[in-house]
Amino acid sequence: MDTLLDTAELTDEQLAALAARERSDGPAFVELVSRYRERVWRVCFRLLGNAEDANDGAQEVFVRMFLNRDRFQGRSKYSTWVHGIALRTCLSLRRGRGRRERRENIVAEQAGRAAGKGDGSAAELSLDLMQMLDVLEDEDRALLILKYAEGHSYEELAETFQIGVSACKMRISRAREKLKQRFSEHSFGAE
Amino acid sequence: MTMPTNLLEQMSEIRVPPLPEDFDRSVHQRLNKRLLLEHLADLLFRGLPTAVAHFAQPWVGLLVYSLVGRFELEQPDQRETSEDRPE
Repeated sequence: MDTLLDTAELTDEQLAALAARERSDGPAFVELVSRYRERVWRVCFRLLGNAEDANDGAQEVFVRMFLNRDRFQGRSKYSTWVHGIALRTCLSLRRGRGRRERRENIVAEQAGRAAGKGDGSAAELSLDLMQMLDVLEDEDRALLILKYAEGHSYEELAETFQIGVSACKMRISRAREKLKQRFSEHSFGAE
Repeated sequence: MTMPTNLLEQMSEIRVPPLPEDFDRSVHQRLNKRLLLEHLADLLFRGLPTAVAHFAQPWVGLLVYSLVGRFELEQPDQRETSEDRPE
């Protein structure tokens, strides 16, 4: 019980240092999982587009977090490091699965949700956006999702994607331009 | 179809379903399975070759002894050297 109390008071970085010394998924790693599972789940769901893939992706993120726990050097925030793992995991999962299959899952899921709850406008918004974002490259799509859905700053995104801040801004701007050109009837906002 | 004015700004409003109830258990099981596989791979590709290399010499010695009646096969020049050596 003392251990649980101790881990709850530590920062993420301190827990990461403790977890690196644990031989199994001990109290420090368990605490990190409990702190990040909601965030990782949300990111995986938004990047992968359906609950089944998101579940698979989020589990894989925590497995990779454990296996690479001694590689966190503390040069960035722990949350950025975790988001980097989540991003790379989701991108590799997306590459591994056909776009058509994914889109069919999304359509079926959203249609079911809309039929069940009568929440047509939210489901339509989600479906429309997912379809629109599919015209982008996977990394650009992820940039837009993390920026607008998760509210990450340009600095955080630059660290997560391991690019410069200006390059990050440019890629987001270009992705938005591409969406504007492709779907000119909708507004995608300005910088 | 009604569209919001700025789609990207409204992306955060898309509902995310709750985390599956058995998520922690699934992570734990997946981690155990992965660690087991890693240990087995380690045993197969590192442990066994090391053991084979370690025990190869006695096994070869036993085989040689069974075939020629000596523990070690000596090279001709080595035998000469040992025979030439004064007692």
